[in-house]
Amino acid sequence: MDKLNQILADTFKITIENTLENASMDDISNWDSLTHMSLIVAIEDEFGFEISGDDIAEMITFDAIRSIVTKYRNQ
Amino acid sequence: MKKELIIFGAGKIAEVITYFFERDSEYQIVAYVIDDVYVNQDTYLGKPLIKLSEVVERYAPSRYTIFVATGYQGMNQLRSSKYDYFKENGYSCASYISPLVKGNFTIGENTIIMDGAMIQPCATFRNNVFVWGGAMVGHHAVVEDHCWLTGGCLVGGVTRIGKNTFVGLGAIVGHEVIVGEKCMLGAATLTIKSIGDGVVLIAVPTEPHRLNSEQFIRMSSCFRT
Repeated sequence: MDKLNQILADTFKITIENTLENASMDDISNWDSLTHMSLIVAIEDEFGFEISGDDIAEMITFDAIRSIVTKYRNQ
Repeated sequence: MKKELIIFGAGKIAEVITYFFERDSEYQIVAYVIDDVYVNQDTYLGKPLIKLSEVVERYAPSRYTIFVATGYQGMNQLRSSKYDYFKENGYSCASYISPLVKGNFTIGENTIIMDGAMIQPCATFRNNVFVWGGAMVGHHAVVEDHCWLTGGCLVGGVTRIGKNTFVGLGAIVGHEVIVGEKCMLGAATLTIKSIGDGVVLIAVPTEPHRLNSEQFIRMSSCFRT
């Protein structure tokens, strides 16, 4: 998950340490629909899978992101 | 006493034109005329609907004024041919400028400037030009015969729009540009260099987002309920 944490840090311009906590859209000031899609594209490019629209819509907390990325990586 | 006006056309454009002329013009619509083959009822909008072949006989050019109110089919070819027909038969054609549009500009016959158009000083509109609400035409621009300027288009100052050209929704034509005849400037196109006759410009439409609206609502805090 180090790579995922780095993507979160780069996308939201926060420290790696801050990615270790759970956070939601309400907690991250620059987490809007545009940065969200940038995050999705960065994850897909890094891990080589394509995330479904329903899963993209559910990835609104760091924990949810970690959970869904884990699901795809285990498929 | 209002002048007597005949509208050529019995479709959506004619309905729009009727609204403006009846709302606040010096004209009173007395009849509608269309090509003989399309006449399948006696009246349109409560007025006689007559065949084109009968118009000269029943409504003398010396007394009645015409407004050609059809769409831009065939790069305004239908409009220009009907306009020419009525001129060849001796009719004068009415024009209309919305009282909401102020300014120092000139227009020819069978030209309409609708509510919400923005016309800068010294612009010129020749004959048979439609300018829809929201269109902006810059100073000293010249719009030649039979053009159609759609809502929201922007025509820069000192620019010339050639005959029969169609300027689509939100299309932008820059300053001091010359646009040829029978051009089709599609919606949201950008023309900043002069173009010749018959050029067609089509803007690339925006790609749909990969999420549908339901997914987008769930994802986006901005739209979440």
